[in-house]
Parts: sequence; structure tokens; C-alpha cells
Amino acid sequence: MWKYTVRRILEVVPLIVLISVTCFALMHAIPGGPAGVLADNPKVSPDEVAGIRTSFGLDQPLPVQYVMWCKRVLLHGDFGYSFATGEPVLRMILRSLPATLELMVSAFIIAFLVATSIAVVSALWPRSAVDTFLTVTSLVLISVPIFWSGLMAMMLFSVKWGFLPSAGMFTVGSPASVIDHLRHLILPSAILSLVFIASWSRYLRVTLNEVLSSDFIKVAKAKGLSKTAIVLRHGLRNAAAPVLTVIALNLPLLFTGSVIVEKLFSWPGMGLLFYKGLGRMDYSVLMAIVFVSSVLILVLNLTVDLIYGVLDPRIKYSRS
Amino acid sequence: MVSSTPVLSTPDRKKAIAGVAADAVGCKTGSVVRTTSGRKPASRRRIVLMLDGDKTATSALVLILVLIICAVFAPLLSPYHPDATNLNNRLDPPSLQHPFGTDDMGTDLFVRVMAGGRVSLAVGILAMILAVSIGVVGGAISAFWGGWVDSIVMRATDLMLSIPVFFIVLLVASLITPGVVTICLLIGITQWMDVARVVRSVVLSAKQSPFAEAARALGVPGNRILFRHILLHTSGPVLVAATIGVAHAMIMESALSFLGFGVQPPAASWGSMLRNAQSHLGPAPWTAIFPGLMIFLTVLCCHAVSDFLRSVLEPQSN
Repeated sequence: MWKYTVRRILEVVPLIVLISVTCFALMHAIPGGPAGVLADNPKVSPDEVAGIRTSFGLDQPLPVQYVMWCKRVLLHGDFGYSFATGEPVLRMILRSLPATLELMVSAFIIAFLVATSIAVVSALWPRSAVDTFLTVTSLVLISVPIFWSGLMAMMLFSVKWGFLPSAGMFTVGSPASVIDHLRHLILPSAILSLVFIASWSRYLRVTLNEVLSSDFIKVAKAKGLSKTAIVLRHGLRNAAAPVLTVIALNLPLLFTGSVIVEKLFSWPGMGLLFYKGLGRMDYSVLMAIVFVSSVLILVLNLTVDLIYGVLDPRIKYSRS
Repeated sequence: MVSSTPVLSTPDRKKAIAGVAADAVGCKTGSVVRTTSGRKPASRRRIVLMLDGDKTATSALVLILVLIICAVFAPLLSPYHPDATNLNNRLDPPSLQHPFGTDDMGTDLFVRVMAGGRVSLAVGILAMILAVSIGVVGGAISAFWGGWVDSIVMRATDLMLSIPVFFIVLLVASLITPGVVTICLLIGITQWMDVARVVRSVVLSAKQSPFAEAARALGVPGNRILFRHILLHTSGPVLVAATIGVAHAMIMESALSFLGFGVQPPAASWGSMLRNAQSHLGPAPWTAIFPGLMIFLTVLCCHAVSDFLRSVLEPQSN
């Protein structure tokens, strides 16, 4: 187990290096390089641009620059300064990260609870009307693009019926309260969870059915366990590990979804920061977000792999 | 399947994923791999015969065909032009004259939605063809040659699957002014990983099968075995992945256009029409309903068709 953990961590390192190289290459693929944006600004004189180039080390050969960039990022967490606001990039990211994580975690929890209930109900009454209905619902959910479901939800709940706020984290001008905040959270997190509900429930349903047809379930039945107990205690436990794989695979989708949902609902997180950065060509911020979210995904993936062994003790960690 | 074997090796996610990677929906994980060992790929006639009894798949196919025909011919036959503006009837609700209503420039939405469908469908199909080609070649070469080629391709796949590719696509799209071709390229080179994994697993098992061994014994050169004999076995899973691929590419394109980094005005795609609709949600909900409904219907049909193909081509998975 420990050997496996160490090996997996070591495997992640080259991926992080690759990601950093990709980010760095992209930054320099921009016409004019990282300082190109400044050169376009009429308020900044060519001399100043040259000055900035030397002070940031942009006149050095690329490999040297790469090493310098890595040193700054890995040792000091220093991603440079925003081209648009002049603020340290790290501070901007740290400020928006909690909002994004809050959105993602709540979407994740919603998706997990709903998907599990759908799959369990389908497994308890296979081929019933409920099962058919839920299967069709999943198929529909997986086909709805979230920017459309988001627009439709906003149109109904915010514009037409006025139930829920359509933008931001708090109501401007009113005292901040938990209830107010939660009301703002409902729509974005529900919309973000839709994609995952569909894919997880479909997958969990198939895995559950497969587990339920195996021999040890027959033993449990013969032992006189109730249907519910079998599904909840034996079925879910055994279906959990394979489903975890799908959850891990969906992680990048969580970030993709957050850009769209945060933009749609003006949720002040990392996705919105990224979207705004695209508009004002704030490349230092964009690179930092790509890097940070990639590393986050890698770390979460690693965690999932390690949870695997806990969920399914039969898995042996061997050399492959 | 991880849960059914008593003694298991490393939790080799790569292998377990191969089958589901396509879209993480309901197929049984290992089934794609198993299909090829000894089973003849389903013939075209069998697919048509099966289609006869499957109402869902048939209606999905018919709907896709109708959509394509409408997208191609409606703008030609309609009295309105998809880009024509008419400031006298801005944001008109749906009526007999304008079945989908009009948008903020007074353009007939029905014609505009159909013209937008050309872009969306074309991007979906072209990007899918590119992605599938890269995936098939990458996966086949990786599995057949093995060694360092395999490690490089698999590393690249891992990398692409573990980074938020959409961020990078957005970044590149914001650097260049994207046209239809560049969007297809962007989507194509970022969506090949699932196909590559599926093809790799199929080729890996087909490589060991008796027919490949027989070909080797007869002295058939390796590349010829791969391209003439083994690749044929990937056609089933690839077809399934390709139908899902169209759906994914279309959603990606509309997401890009929705965020303003896809098809640029005056050309429209379903995604960019939704982007415009955002500011008229209250007074003119139809501007948001119809383009989105089109994306939804097309993607739904793709999923239905791919579910059907999976059930025909991989009977064990049901």
C-alpha cells in the first residue's frame, strides 16, 4: 500500500512538469510574448516595455526563463502580477477559490445524493415504471447543455416567478445573511450538478445491477435479508469502487462547468475570474488558473485512487 | 470488472475506464474489450434489422435526418434571410409568420436557427471525424507497437484527461479569431482521448487472438495485419464513440460560442444565439428556448443512437 502510494505520487510529478511546460509554452505562444499585451497599450512607452522585459527576465533564453518561472511558482507560489489590475495573481486566485470550491462541493453533494437515490430506486424496482422514468430522465439530463438549462432555470425561477436571485453571492445593499447566501447558491449548484447526476446515476445503475446478479447476493437473499438491506448494504458497497472511477474522470468537467455556470450566474469564483481574464487578455492570471486547476485535478485523482483501496479491500496494489 | 473477480491486480483505472470513457454513461466497463475476442463485428444488415424493432432509435435517427434536411434547405426556401434585420418587428413572439418569433434585430428566428444548425452540425461532425481519426491512429499504433510509443501516447492521453482542456481551448480561441475550421481543429485535437483508449484496448486484445497469430505465421507484415485485419475489429466501439463524439463536439462548440469565443457574428451557431438571448430572457424567452432546444434535441438523438448501437454491437453489455 505504501509502496503504491509513493509510486502514484511519483507518477504525478512528471505530469505536473508537463502541465507547467504546456502553460509556459502557451504563454510564450502569445504574439509578443507575455509582455505583448503591455506593448499594445498606448499609455506604456516602448522603453518601459523594454524595462519590464529585462526586470521580469523576459530577455533571457526560454529554458532559463522556464526554470525561473518554475522556481517562482513552486517555491514561492508567485505567479506574477495581473496585466489588467497589477494585483498579485496568487492573491486574486486565493480570493476567488473559496467561492468556486463552495459551488463545486455543493454541486458534488447534490449530484452524489440524487444520483445514488436514482440508482438505488432503479435497482430496487427494476423494469418498473419508476425505473423507466428515471432512465429516461437521466438520458434527458445528460443531453441538456448546462448553459441552456441554466438560462431556462434563470428564466423561470428568477425572471418569471422571482423565487430566487439570478446573480452574485449576496443581495447587494442588504445585510449579509446565511439564508440570503444559500438562496444565491441554489440555482448555480443545482445546474452544475445536473451533468453529474445524469452520468453517475446511469453508471451506478448498471454497476448495481451487475453486482446484484452475483452469487454473494444470492447468498444474502437465501439468508433472508430484505431487498432494501441487500441493495443498501451489499450492493452499494460493491458498486462504489467502479463508480469512483467515473467520478474521477468527471473532475475536469467540474471545472469546465464552473466557468459556464459562474459566468451565467455571476458567481465570483475562479471560473468567472478566468472568463474575465479572457476578455482583458490577462494572461498571467489565465496561466495561473490553468496550472492551479490542473494540479487540483491531479491531486484529487490521486486521492480517488487511494480511496479505491479503502472501498474495495480486495484490490491488491501490485506492480504493473 | 473490478467487483466480480476475487483476486484483483492493480486498480488499473486505464483499463477499467476504456469502456466508459466515451461518456461515462451506462455501458458495462469491460464489454468493449470483450466484444472482439472471437466475435464477428455486427453486419450492416443486422443493424438495419435491429433498427426495425427499436422505436426510440428509429425516431432519433429520423429526427436527426429531419434536422439536417431542415438546416440545409430551410434557409434556401424561406422568404426570410438568416442575417436580414427588420427593426419594425424586433422581439416578436412566435406567430404563423415567424414560427420561432424574431430576435432583437427583427431577424426571423426559425431561419436563423436553421442556418445556425448548419454551423453547429458541421462543426459537430467535422470535429468528431478529426477526433476519431486521431484517436484511432493513436490508439492503434500505441497498442500495436507498444514500448516507448505506447508510453508516450498513454502519457499524452493521461495528461489530456487530467487537465481542464476546456480552459486551454478557451485560451487559444481567445488568442486567435476563430472560424469554423479553427474551431473544428481545436475541438478535434482535444477530444480524441476516449477513442484512443477504446481502440487501444480493442487492438491489445485482438493482437493476441488466433487470427492475428495466423496472419503472423503466414508472414503478413505487421502494419498490414494492423490495418487490414485488426482495425476492422474496432469499428463497433469506434462507431459508438463517434456518435457520442458528435454530441460532445456540438456541446463544446456551443459552449465556446456561448462564452463568445466561438463562431463570430454575423454568422450564428446555436451557442452564439443563446449568448444573445441572455439579455432578453424576460421580454423574449423564445430567443433562448429554440436554439437551446435544437442543441438538446440533437444531442439527445446522438445519445439515443449510440445507446442503440452499443446494444447491437455489444450484446453482452445489456
